[in-house]
Amino acid sequence: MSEWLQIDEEGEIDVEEIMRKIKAHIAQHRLMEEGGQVITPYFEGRFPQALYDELLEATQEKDRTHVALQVTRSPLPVVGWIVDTLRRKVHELVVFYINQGAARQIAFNDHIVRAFSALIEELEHSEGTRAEIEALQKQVEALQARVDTLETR
Amino acid sequence: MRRIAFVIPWYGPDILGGAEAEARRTAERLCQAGLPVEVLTTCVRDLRADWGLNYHRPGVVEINGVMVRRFPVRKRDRAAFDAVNWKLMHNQPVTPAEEQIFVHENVCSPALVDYIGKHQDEYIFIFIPYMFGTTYWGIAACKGKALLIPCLHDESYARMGVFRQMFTWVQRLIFLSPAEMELACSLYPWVDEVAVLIGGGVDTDFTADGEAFRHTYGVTAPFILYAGRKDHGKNVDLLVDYFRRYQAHRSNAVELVLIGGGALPVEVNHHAGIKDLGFVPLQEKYNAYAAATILCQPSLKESFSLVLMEAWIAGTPALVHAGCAVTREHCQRSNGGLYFADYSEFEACLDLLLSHPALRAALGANGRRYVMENYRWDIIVERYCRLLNGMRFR
Repeated sequence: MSEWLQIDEEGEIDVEEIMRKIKAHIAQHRLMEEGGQVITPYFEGRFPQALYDELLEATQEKDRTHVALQVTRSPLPVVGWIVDTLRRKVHELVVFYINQGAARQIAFNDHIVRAFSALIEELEHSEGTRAEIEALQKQVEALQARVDTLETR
Repeated sequence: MRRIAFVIPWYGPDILGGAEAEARRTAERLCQAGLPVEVLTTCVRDLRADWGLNYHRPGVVEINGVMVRRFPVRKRDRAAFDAVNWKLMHNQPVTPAEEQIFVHENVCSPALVDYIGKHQDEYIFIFIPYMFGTTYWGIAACKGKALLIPCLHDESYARMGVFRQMFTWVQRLIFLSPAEMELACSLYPWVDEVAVLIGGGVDTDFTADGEAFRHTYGVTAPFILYAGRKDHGKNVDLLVDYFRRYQAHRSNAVELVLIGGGALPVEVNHHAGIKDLGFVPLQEKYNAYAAATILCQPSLKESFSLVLMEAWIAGTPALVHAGCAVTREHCQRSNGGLYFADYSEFEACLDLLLSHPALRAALGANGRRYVMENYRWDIIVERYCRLLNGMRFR
Protein backbone atom coordinates (compact mmCIF):
# COMPACT_ATOMS: atom_id res chain seq x y z
CA MET A 1 0.00 0.00 0.00
CA SER A 2 2.00 3.02 1.15
CA GLU A 3 4.92 1.56 3.11
CA TRP A 4 7.18 3.55 0.78
CA LEU A 5 6.18 6.78 2.47
CA GLN A 6 7.18 7.56 6.01
CA ILE A 7 5.02 10.25 7.59
CA ASP A 8 5.85 11.84 10.90
CA GLU A 9 2.27 11.92 12.14
CA GLU A 10 3.27 13.61 15.38
CA GLY A 11 4.97 16.51 13.61
CA GLU A 12 3.68 19.35 11.43
CA ILE A 13 2.00 18.23 8.22
CA ASP A 14 3.41 19.75 5.04
CA VAL A 15 1.08 18.87 2.17
CA GLU A 16 3.48 20.09 -0.52
CA GLU A 17 6.26 17.88 0.84
CA ILE A 18 3.92 14.89 0.93
CA MET A 19 2.93 15.58 -2.69
CA ARG A 20 6.60 15.82 -3.72
CA LYS A 21 7.25 12.42 -2.13
CA ILE A 22 4.18 10.95 -3.85
CA LYS A 23 5.30 12.29 -7.25
CA ALA A 24 8.84 11.01 -6.70
CA HIS A 25 7.54 7.58 -5.73
CA ILE A 26 5.36 7.41 -8.85
CA ALA A 27 8.24 8.51 -11.10
CA GLN A 28 10.61 5.95 -9.59
CA HIS A 29 7.99 3.25 -9.86
CA ARG A 30 7.40 4.08 -13.54
CA LEU A 31 11.08 4.09 -14.35
CA MET A 32 11.60 0.76 -12.63
CA GLU A 33 8.67 -0.72 -14.54
CA GLU A 34 10.27 0.51 -17.76
CA GLY A 35 13.59 -1.00 -16.69
CA GLY A 36 15.03 2.48 -16.62
CA GLN A 37 17.45 4.29 -14.41
CA VAL A 38 16.19 5.56 -11.07
CA ILE A 39 16.96 9.18 -10.38
CA THR A 40 18.19 9.66 -6.81
CA PRO A 41 18.18 11.42 -4.52
CA TYR A 42 15.06 13.55 -4.80
CA PHE A 43 15.29 15.21 -1.44
CA GLU A 44 17.92 16.92 0.64
CA GLY A 45 20.47 16.52 -2.13
CA ARG A 46 23.29 18.96 -2.67
CA PHE A 47 21.41 21.05 -5.24
CA PRO A 48 18.39 23.32 -4.76
CA GLN A 49 15.07 21.46 -4.43
CA ALA A 50 13.81 23.19 -7.58
CA LEU A 51 16.32 21.22 -9.67
CA TYR A 52 14.98 17.88 -8.39
CA ASP A 53 11.39 19.07 -8.85
CA GLU A 54 12.08 20.08 -12.45
CA LEU A 55 13.81 16.80 -13.17
CA LEU A 56 10.89 14.93 -11.66
CA GLU A 57 8.43 16.89 -13.82
CA ALA A 58 10.56 16.14 -16.90
CA THR A 59 10.60 12.43 -16.02
CA GLN A 60 6.83 12.38 -15.76
CA GLU A 61 6.15 14.52 -18.82
CA LYS A 62 8.75 13.13 -21.21
CA ASP A 63 6.35 10.79 -23.02
CA ARG A 64 3.19 12.91 -22.89
CA THR A 65 3.46 14.22 -26.41
CA HIS A 66 0.96 12.04 -28.25
CA VAL A 67 -1.88 13.95 -29.83
CA ALA A 68 -5.38 12.53 -29.52
CA LEU A 69 -8.08 12.88 -32.14
CA GLN A 70 -10.36 15.76 -31.19
CA VAL A 71 -13.22 16.43 -33.58
CA THR A 72 -16.17 18.50 -32.44
CA ARG A 73 -19.59 17.93 -33.97
CA SER A 74 -20.78 20.23 -36.72
CA PRO A 75 -23.97 22.15 -35.86
CA LEU A 76 -25.03 22.18 -39.54
CA PRO A 77 -28.33 20.44 -40.24
CA VAL A 78 -28.58 17.63 -42.85
CA VAL A 79 -24.98 17.87 -44.11
CA GLY A 80 -23.47 17.95 -40.63
CA TRP A 81 -22.54 14.24 -40.68
CA ILE A 82 -20.69 14.66 -43.99
CA VAL A 83 -18.68 17.57 -42.54
CA ASP A 84 -17.98 15.47 -39.43
CA THR A 85 -16.75 12.51 -41.50
CA LEU A 86 -14.49 14.70 -43.62
CA ARG A 87 -13.14 16.49 -40.56
CA ARG A 88 -12.42 13.19 -38.83
CA LYS A 89 -10.55 11.80 -41.86
CA VAL A 90 -8.43 14.95 -42.19
CA HIS A 91 -7.72 15.00 -38.45
CA GLU A 92 -6.72 11.31 -38.51
CA LEU A 93 -4.23 12.02 -41.27
CA VAL A 94 -2.76 15.02 -39.48
CA VAL A 95 -2.58 13.22 -36.15
CA PHE A 96 -0.85 10.24 -37.82
CA TYR A 97 2.05 12.41 -38.98
CA ILE A 98 2.17 14.47 -35.79
CA ASN A 99 2.41 11.32 -33.70
CA GLN A 100 5.32 10.06 -35.81
CA GLY A 101 7.19 13.25 -34.96
CA ALA A 102 6.06 12.97 -31.34
CA ALA A 103 7.51 9.44 -31.08
CA ARG A 104 10.94 10.80 -32.10
CA GLN A 105 10.56 13.64 -29.61
CA ILE A 106 9.78 11.13 -26.85
CA ALA A 107 12.96 9.18 -27.62
CA PHE A 108 14.95 12.43 -27.55
CA ASN A 109 13.29 13.53 -24.27
CA ASP A 110 14.12 10.15 -22.76
CA HIS A 111 17.82 10.51 -23.66
CA ILE A 112 17.92 14.03 -22.22
CA VAL A 113 16.24 13.03 -18.94
CA ARG A 114 18.56 10.03 -18.55
CA ALA A 115 21.63 12.16 -19.33
CA PHE A 116 20.62 14.79 -16.78
CA SER A 117 19.85 12.14 -14.18
CA ALA A 118 23.23 10.50 -14.72
CA LEU A 119 24.97 13.87 -14.54
CA ILE A 120 23.24 14.82 -11.27
CA GLU A 121 23.94 11.40 -9.79
CA GLU A 122 27.60 11.70 -10.76
CA LEU A 123 27.79 15.17 -9.24
CA GLU A 124 26.11 13.89 -6.06
CA HIS A 125 28.80 11.18 -5.78
CA SER A 126 31.63 13.57 -6.55
CA GLU A 127 30.84 15.44 -3.33
CA GLY A 128 33.52 13.35 -1.54
CA THR A 129 36.17 14.19 -4.15
CA ARG A 130 35.46 17.88 -3.85
CA ALA A 131 35.87 17.70 -0.06
CA GLU A 132 39.21 15.92 -0.49
CA ILE A 133 40.45 18.62 -2.90
CA GLU A 134 39.40 21.35 -0.47
CA ALA A 135 41.25 19.55 2.39
CA LEU A 136 44.40 19.19 0.25
CA GLN A 137 44.22 22.88 -0.75
CA LYS A 138 44.10 23.80 2.94
CA GLN A 139 47.11 21.55 3.61
CA VAL A 140 49.08 23.18 0.77
CA GLU A 141 48.24 26.63 2.14
CA ALA A 142 49.38 25.59 5.61
CA LEU A 143 52.64 24.13 4.27
CA GLN A 144 53.24 27.25 2.15
CA ALA A 145 52.80 29.37 5.27
CA ARG A 146 55.35 27.21 7.12
CA VAL A 147 57.84 27.46 4.22
CA ASP A 148 57.40 31.25 4.19
CA THR A 149 58.07 31.38 7.93
CA LEU A 150 61.22 29.24 7.60
CA GLU A 151 62.53 31.35 4.72
CA THR A 152 62.18 34.59 6.66
CA ARG A 153 64.34 33.22 9.56
CA MET B 1 -25.36 54.90 3.89
CA ARG B 2 -26.59 53.89 0.46
CA ARG B 3 -28.76 50.81 0.10
CA ILE B 4 -26.86 47.71 -1.00
CA ALA B 5 -28.33 45.64 -3.81
CA PHE B 6 -27.12 42.22 -4.91
CA VAL B 7 -27.97 41.80 -8.59
CA ILE B 8 -28.32 38.19 -9.71
CA PRO B 9 -30.17 36.50 -12.62
CA TRP B 10 -32.36 34.32 -10.35
CA TYR B 11 -32.92 34.18 -6.62
CA GLY B 12 -34.73 31.93 -4.17
CA PRO B 13 -34.26 29.99 -0.96
CA ASP B 14 -34.00 26.63 -2.72
CA ILE B 15 -31.90 27.55 -5.78
CA LEU B 16 -28.71 25.49 -6.00
CA GLY B 17 -25.38 26.66 -7.38
CA GLY B 18 -22.25 28.25 -5.96
CA ALA B 19 -22.84 31.87 -6.99
CA GLU B 20 -26.54 31.71 -6.14
CA ALA B 21 -25.85 30.33 -2.66
CA GLU B 22 -23.02 32.81 -2.13
CA ALA B 23 -25.29 35.77 -3.00
CA ARG B 24 -28.19 34.53 -0.86
CA ARG B 25 -26.11 33.73 2.20
CA THR B 26 -24.10 36.95 1.99
CA ALA B 27 -27.22 39.09 1.52
CA GLU B 28 -28.88 37.45 4.52
CA ARG B 29 -25.81 37.80 6.75
CA LEU B 30 -25.28 41.46 5.84
CA CYS B 31 -28.98 42.08 6.46
CA GLN B 32 -28.71 40.42 9.89
CA ALA B 33 -25.73 42.68 10.60
CA GLY B 34 -28.04 45.67 10.14
CA LEU B 35 -27.03 46.75 6.64
CA PRO B 36 -29.78 47.96 4.27
CA VAL B 37 -29.59 45.05 1.83
CA GLU B 38 -31.90 44.23 -1.09
CA VAL B 39 -31.75 41.78 -3.96
CA LEU B 40 -32.56 42.77 -7.54
CA THR B 41 -33.34 39.82 -9.75
CA THR B 42 -35.52 38.57 -12.60
CA CYS B 43 -38.69 36.49 -12.62
CA VAL B 44 -36.82 33.48 -14.08
CA ARG B 45 -37.03 30.38 -11.88
CA ASP B 46 -33.38 29.22 -12.02
CA LEU B 47 -30.42 28.38 -14.28
CA ARG B 48 -32.09 25.31 -15.77
CA ALA B 49 -35.38 27.07 -16.62
CA ASP B 50 -36.23 28.97 -19.81
CA TRP B 51 -34.44 32.34 -19.48
CA GLY B 52 -37.19 34.02 -21.48
CA LEU B 53 -40.01 32.78 -19.24
CA ASN B 54 -41.34 34.78 -16.27
CA TYR B 55 -41.96 32.13 -13.62
CA HIS B 56 -42.28 34.44 -10.59
CA ARG B 57 -44.53 37.50 -10.41
CA PRO B 58 -42.79 40.85 -10.83
CA GLY B 59 -42.72 42.94 -7.64
CA VAL B 60 -41.32 42.95 -4.15
CA VAL B 61 -41.20 39.93 -1.83
CA GLU B 62 -39.30 39.23 1.37
CA ILE B 63 -37.20 36.07 1.54
CA ASN B 64 -35.52 35.19 4.87
CA GLY B 65 -35.61 38.83 5.93
CA VAL B 66 -34.17 40.20 2.67
CA MET B 67 -36.23 42.43 0.37
CA VAL B 68 -36.22 40.97 -3.14
CA ARG B 69 -37.33 42.99 -6.20
CA ARG B 70 -38.20 40.85 -9.20
CA PHE B 71 -38.28 42.23 -12.74
CA PRO B 72 -39.72 40.56 -15.86
CA VAL B 73 -37.38 39.24 -18.56
CA ARG B 74 -37.80 39.83 -22.28
CA LYS B 75 -38.14 37.19 -24.98
CA ARG B 76 -34.87 35.99 -26.46
CA ASP B 77 -33.57 34.03 -29.42
CA ARG B 78 -32.61 30.90 -27.57
CA ALA B 79 -31.39 29.03 -30.69
CA ALA B 80 -28.97 31.83 -31.62
CA PHE B 81 -27.66 31.95 -28.03
CA ASP B 82 -27.29 28.18 -27.82
CA ALA B 83 -25.29 28.06 -31.08
CA VAL B 84 -22.72 30.55 -29.72
CA ASN B 85 -22.76 28.97 -26.29
CA TRP B 86 -22.08 25.55 -27.83
CA LYS B 87 -18.92 26.95 -29.44
CA LEU B 88 -17.79 28.49 -26.16
CA MET B 89 -18.44 25.30 -24.24
CA HIS B 90 -16.26 23.43 -26.74
CA ASN B 91 -13.51 26.07 -26.62
CA GLN B 92 -14.04 27.12 -30.21
CA PRO B 93 -13.30 30.73 -31.22
CA VAL B 94 -16.23 33.12 -31.56
CA THR B 95 -16.40 36.32 -33.58
CA PRO B 96 -17.21 39.76 -32.09
CA ALA B 97 -20.64 39.49 -33.76
CA GLU B 98 -21.23 36.16 -32.01
CA GLU B 99 -20.14 37.71 -28.70
CA GLN B 100 -22.83 40.34 -29.22
CA ILE B 101 -25.38 37.58 -29.80
CA PHE B 102 -24.20 35.97 -26.55
CA VAL B 103 -24.88 39.07 -24.47
CA HIS B 104 -28.02 40.19 -26.35
CA GLU B 105 -29.72 36.79 -26.20
CA ASN B 106 -28.58 36.09 -22.62
CA VAL B 107 -30.97 36.38 -19.66
CA CYS B 108 -31.99 40.04 -19.67
CA SER B 109 -34.57 42.25 -18.07
CA PRO B 110 -34.87 45.75 -19.58
CA ALA B 111 -36.95 46.79 -16.55
CA LEU B 112 -34.16 45.73 -14.19
CA VAL B 113 -31.53 47.56 -16.25
CA ASP B 114 -33.77 50.64 -16.33
CA TYR B 115 -34.23 50.48 -12.54
CA ILE B 116 -30.44 50.26 -12.02
CA GLY B 117 -29.85 53.25 -14.32
CA LYS B 118 -32.48 55.41 -12.61
CA HIS B 119 -31.47 54.55 -9.02
CA GLN B 120 -27.71 54.39 -9.41
CA ASP B 121 -27.15 57.21 -6.92
CA GLU B 122 -29.19 55.50 -4.20
CA TYR B 123 -27.56 52.05 -4.20
CA ILE B 124 -24.26 50.26 -4.05
CA PHE B 125 -24.83 47.51 -6.65
CA ILE B 126 -23.03 44.17 -6.20
CA PHE B 127 -23.33 42.01 -9.31
CA ILE B 128 -22.81 38.24 -9.24
CA PRO B 129 -21.63 36.25 -11.25
CA TYR B 130 -19.90 37.72 -14.31
CA MET B 131 -21.25 35.85 -17.33
CA PHE B 132 -24.97 36.66 -17.40
CA GLY B 133 -26.96 39.38 -19.14
CA THR B 134 -28.19 40.85 -15.85
CA THR B 135 -24.56 41.53 -14.93
CA TYR B 136 -23.37 42.76 -18.33
CA TRP B 137 -26.30 45.13 -19.01
CA GLY B 138 -26.65 46.11 -15.34
CA ILE B 139 -23.00 47.16 -15.02
CA ALA B 140 -23.30 49.00 -18.36
CA ALA B 141 -26.16 51.01 -16.82
CA CYS B 142 -24.06 52.22 -13.87
CA LYS B 143 -20.54 52.31 -15.27
CA GLY B 144 -17.82 53.09 -12.73
CA LYS B 145 -20.11 52.51 -9.74
CA ALA B 146 -20.63 48.75 -9.70
CA LEU B 147 -19.05 46.08 -7.54
CA LEU B 148 -18.70 42.66 -9.10
CA ILE B 149 -18.23 39.25 -7.50
CA PRO B 150 -17.23 37.48 -10.72
CA CYS B 151 -16.97 33.85 -9.47
CA LEU B 152 -14.33 33.54 -12.18
CA HIS B 153 -13.04 30.28 -13.66
CA ASP B 154 -10.38 29.67 -16.27
CA GLU B 155 -12.79 29.13 -19.18
CA SER B 156 -13.56 30.45 -22.66
CA TYR B 157 -16.23 32.91 -21.39
CA ALA B 158 -13.58 34.70 -19.32
CA ARG B 159 -11.61 35.44 -22.51
CA MET B 160 -14.51 37.04 -24.43
CA GLY B 161 -13.98 40.62 -25.53
CA VAL B 162 -17.34 41.73 -24.14
CA PHE B 163 -16.43 40.59 -20.64
CA ARG B 164 -12.90 42.00 -20.86
CA GLN B 165 -14.58 45.33 -21.61
CA MET B 166 -17.11 44.86 -18.79
CA PHE B 167 -14.27 44.37 -16.30
CA THR B 168 -13.11 47.92 -17.11
CA TRP B 169 -16.51 49.33 -16.06
CA VAL B 170 -16.47 48.20 -12.41
CA GLN B 171 -15.33 50.15 -9.38
CA ARG B 172 -14.37 47.14 -7.28
CA LEU B 173 -13.94 43.43 -7.95
CA ILE B 174 -14.59 41.09 -5.03
CA PHE B 175 -12.83 37.72 -5.05
CA LEU B 176 -13.59 34.58 -3.10
CA SER B 177 -10.08 33.12 -3.10
CA PRO B 178 -6.48 34.27 -3.78
CA ALA B 179 -6.21 31.91 -6.78
CA GLU B 180 -9.34 33.40 -8.34
CA MET B 181 -7.88 36.90 -7.89
CA GLU B 182 -4.59 35.77 -9.43
CA LEU B 183 -6.45 34.37 -12.44
CA ALA B 184 -8.32 37.67 -12.90
CA CYS B 185 -5.07 39.65 -12.73
CA SER B 186 -3.51 37.40 -15.38
CA LEU B 187 -6.54 37.70 -17.69
CA TYR B 188 -7.19 41.41 -17.10
CA PRO B 189 -3.90 43.03 -15.96
CA TRP B 190 -5.55 46.32 -14.97
CA VAL B 191 -7.81 44.83 -12.30
CA ASP B 192 -5.20 44.55 -9.54
CA GLU B 193 -5.96 48.17 -8.68
CA VAL B 194 -9.63 47.45 -8.03
CA ALA B 195 -9.36 43.86 -6.74
CA VAL B 196 -10.45 43.08 -3.18
CA LEU B 197 -10.06 39.66 -1.60
CA ILE B 198 -12.94 38.91 0.74
CA GLY B 199 -13.56 35.15 0.50
CA GLY B 200 -16.77 33.21 0.98
CA GLY B 201 -18.56 32.82 4.28
CA VAL B 202 -18.92 29.40 5.86
CA ASP B 203 -21.43 28.26 8.49
CA THR B 204 -19.08 26.96 11.14
CA ASP B 205 -21.49 26.29 13.99
CA PHE B 206 -23.25 23.21 12.65
CA THR B 207 -23.21 19.90 14.48
CA ALA B 208 -22.67 16.67 12.55
CA ASP B 209 -23.33 13.06 13.51
CA GLY B 210 -21.37 10.66 11.34
CA GLU B 211 -22.80 7.58 13.04
CA ALA B 212 -26.35 8.72 12.31
CA PHE B 213 -25.48 9.05 8.61
CA ARG B 214 -23.91 5.58 8.48
CA HIS B 215 -26.94 4.10 10.26
CA THR B 216 -29.52 5.88 8.06
CA TYR B 217 -27.90 4.95 4.76
CA GLY B 218 -26.39 1.60 5.71
CA VAL B 219 -22.81 2.61 4.97
CA THR B 220 -20.36 0.51 6.98
CA ALA B 221 -17.11 0.66 4.99
CA PRO B 222 -14.73 3.64 4.86
CA PHE B 223 -15.94 5.92 2.08
CA ILE B 224 -14.98 8.76 -0.21
CA LEU B 225 -17.67 11.44 -0.29
CA TYR B 226 -18.58 13.54 -3.29
CA ALA B 227 -21.00 16.38 -2.46
CA GLY B 228 -22.43 18.48 -5.25
CA ARG B 229 -24.13 18.45 -8.62
CA LYS B 230 -23.38 15.27 -10.57
CA ASP B 231 -22.58 16.56 -14.02
CA HIS B 232 -19.74 16.67 -16.50
CA GLY B 233 -18.85 20.27 -15.58
CA LYS B 234 -18.04 19.17 -12.03
CA ASN B 235 -15.72 16.40 -13.30
CA VAL B 236 -17.67 13.78 -11.35
CA ASP B 237 -17.35 11.27 -14.22
CA LEU B 238 -13.57 11.41 -13.78
CA LEU B 239 -13.95 10.63 -10.08
CA VAL B 240 -16.22 7.66 -10.85
CA ASP B 241 -13.77 6.39 -13.48
CA TYR B 242 -10.77 6.71 -11.14
CA PHE B 243 -12.68 5.09 -8.29
CA ARG B 244 -13.59 2.09 -10.45
CA ARG B 245 -9.95 1.72 -11.53
CA TYR B 246 -8.88 1.97 -7.90
CA GLN B 247 -11.31 -0.80 -6.95
CA ALA B 248 -9.90 -2.97 -9.73
CA HIS B 249 -6.31 -2.41 -8.52
CA ARG B 250 -6.86 -2.63 -4.78
CA SER B 251 -8.61 -5.08 -2.50
CA ASN B 252 -9.41 -2.65 0.34
CA ALA B 253 -13.09 -2.17 1.04
CA VAL B 254 -13.68 1.50 0.28
CA GLU B 255 -16.86 2.95 -1.15
CA LEU B 256 -17.78 6.05 -3.09
CA VAL B 257 -20.84 7.90 -1.79
CA LEU B 258 -22.34 10.73 -3.80
CA ILE B 259 -24.85 13.28 -2.54
CA GLY B 260 -26.46 16.12 -4.48
CA GLY B 261 -28.61 16.73 -7.55
CA GLY B 262 -28.17 15.29 -11.03
CA ALA B 263 -27.94 11.65 -12.00
CA LEU B 264 -25.22 9.13 -12.74
CA PRO B 265 -25.51 6.76 -15.71
CA VAL B 266 -27.63 3.73 -14.78
CA GLU B 267 -24.76 1.24 -15.14
CA VAL B 268 -22.64 3.27 -12.72
CA ASN B 269 -25.48 3.42 -10.22
CA HIS B 270 -25.55 -0.36 -10.04
CA HIS B 271 -21.80 -0.68 -9.66
CA ALA B 272 -20.75 -2.33 -6.39
CA GLY B 273 -19.19 0.16 -4.03
CA ILE B 274 -20.81 3.27 -5.55
CA LYS B 275 -23.81 4.73 -3.73
CA ASP B 276 -25.68 7.69 -5.18
CA LEU B 277 -27.95 9.01 -2.43
CA GLY B 278 -29.25 11.95 -4.45
CA PHE B 279 -30.28 15.16 -2.79
CA VAL B 280 -30.20 14.91 1.01
CA PRO B 281 -31.47 17.39 3.65
CA LEU B 282 -28.97 19.93 5.00
CA GLN B 283 -28.38 18.19 8.35
CA GLU B 284 -27.76 14.89 6.59
CA LYS B 285 -25.23 16.59 4.33
CA TYR B 286 -23.37 17.75 7.45
CA ASN B 287 -23.63 14.22 8.90
CA ALA B 288 -22.21 12.86 5.63
CA TYR B 289 -19.14 15.12 5.97
CA ALA B 290 -18.54 13.79 9.49
CA ALA B 291 -19.04 10.17 8.44
CA ALA B 292 -16.80 10.36 5.36
CA THR B 293 -13.23 9.08 5.44
CA ILE B 294 -12.21 11.57 2.74
CA LEU B 295 -14.06 14.28 0.83
CA CYS B 296 -13.16 14.32 -2.86
CA GLN B 297 -13.66 17.50 -4.90
CA PRO B 298 -12.67 16.66 -8.51
CA SER B 299 -14.07 19.86 -10.05
CA LEU B 300 -11.73 22.01 -12.14
CA LYS B 301 -13.99 25.05 -12.06
CA GLU B 302 -14.33 26.37 -8.54
CA SER B 303 -13.99 29.95 -7.38
CA PHE B 304 -14.33 29.01 -3.68
CA SER B 305 -15.74 25.48 -3.02
CA LEU B 306 -18.08 25.61 -0.06
CA VAL B 307 -18.25 21.81 0.27
CA LEU B 308 -14.50 21.67 0.84
CA MET B 309 -14.82 24.19 3.67
CA GLU B 310 -17.82 22.43 5.24
CA ALA B 311 -16.02 19.06 5.14
CA TRP B 312 -13.06 20.63 6.92
CA ILE B 313 -15.35 22.08 9.58
CA ALA B 314 -16.51 18.49 10.17
CA GLY B 315 -12.82 17.49 10.48
CA THR B 316 -12.67 15.48 7.24
CA PRO B 317 -9.55 15.63 5.05
CA ALA B 318 -9.85 16.52 1.38
CA LEU B 319 -8.63 15.17 -1.92
CA VAL B 320 -8.93 17.67 -4.79
CA HIS B 321 -7.95 17.92 -8.44
CA ALA B 322 -4.53 19.53 -8.91
CA GLY B 323 -5.83 21.21 -12.08
CA CYS B 324 -8.10 23.50 -10.05
CA ALA B 325 -5.89 26.34 -8.79
CA VAL B 326 -8.48 27.39 -6.18
CA THR B 327 -8.99 24.07 -4.37
CA ARG B 328 -5.33 23.09 -4.70
CA GLU B 329 -4.35 26.41 -3.15
CA HIS B 330 -6.80 25.88 -0.27
CA CYS B 331 -5.14 22.50 0.43
CA GLN B 332 -1.63 23.97 0.25
CA ARG B 333 -2.42 26.95 2.46
CA SER B 334 -4.34 24.94 5.03
CA ASN B 335 -2.33 21.69 4.89
CA GLY B 336 -5.76 20.13 5.01
CA GLY B 337 -5.79 17.93 1.92
CA LEU B 338 -3.92 16.29 -0.93
CA TYR B 339 -4.33 16.73 -4.70
CA PHE B 340 -4.07 14.53 -7.77
CA ALA B 341 -3.26 15.36 -11.38
CA ASP B 342 -3.79 11.88 -12.82
CA TYR B 343 -4.84 8.36 -11.86
CA SER B 344 -1.44 7.38 -10.44
CA GLU B 345 -1.54 10.30 -8.01
CA PHE B 346 -5.18 9.60 -7.14
CA GLU B 347 -4.25 6.01 -6.29
CA ALA B 348 -1.17 7.00 -4.26
CA CYS B 349 -3.09 9.68 -2.34
CA LEU B 350 -5.90 7.25 -1.53
CA ASP B 351 -3.44 4.56 -0.44
CA LEU B 352 -1.77 7.03 1.85
CA LEU B 353 -4.92 8.53 3.34
CA LEU B 354 -6.72 5.22 3.86
CA SER B 355 -3.77 3.64 5.63
CA HIS B 356 -2.89 6.59 7.90
CA PRO B 357 -5.79 7.53 10.23
CA ALA B 358 -3.58 9.92 12.22
CA LEU B 359 -2.62 11.73 9.01
CA ARG B 360 -6.30 12.04 8.08
CA ALA B 361 -7.10 13.46 11.49
CA ALA B 362 -4.23 15.96 11.28
CA LEU B 363 -5.25 17.10 7.79
CA GLY B 364 -8.88 17.48 8.90
CA ALA B 365 -7.83 19.50 11.95
CA ASN B 366 -5.61 21.75 9.81
CA GLY B 367 -8.47 22.33 7.38
CA ARG B 368 -10.85 23.20 10.19
CA ARG B 369 -8.38 25.71 11.63
CA TYR B 370 -7.93 27.29 8.19
CA VAL B 371 -11.69 27.82 7.76
CA MET B 372 -12.12 29.15 11.28
CA GLU B 373 -9.29 31.65 10.81
CA ASN B 374 -10.31 32.88 7.35
CA TYR B 375 -13.93 32.21 6.41
CA ARG B 376 -16.13 32.51 9.51
CA TRP B 377 -19.18 34.67 8.80
CA ASP B 378 -18.24 37.34 11.33
CA ILE B 379 -14.89 37.77 9.52
CA ILE B 380 -16.56 37.95 6.09
CA VAL B 381 -19.25 40.41 7.24
CA GLU B 382 -16.55 42.60 8.79
CA ARG B 383 -14.62 42.62 5.49
CA TYR B 384 -17.76 43.60 3.56
CA CYS B 385 -18.56 46.36 6.04
CA ARG B 386 -15.03 47.77 5.74
CA LEU B 387 -15.24 47.70 1.94
CA LEU B 388 -18.73 49.20 1.71
CA ASN B 389 -18.01 51.94 4.27
CA GLY B 390 -14.92 52.92 2.30
CA MET B 391 -16.75 53.28 -1.02
CA ARG B 392 -16.68 56.76 -2.56
CA PHE B 393 -18.93 57.81 -5.45
CA ARG B 394 -18.78 60.84 -7.68
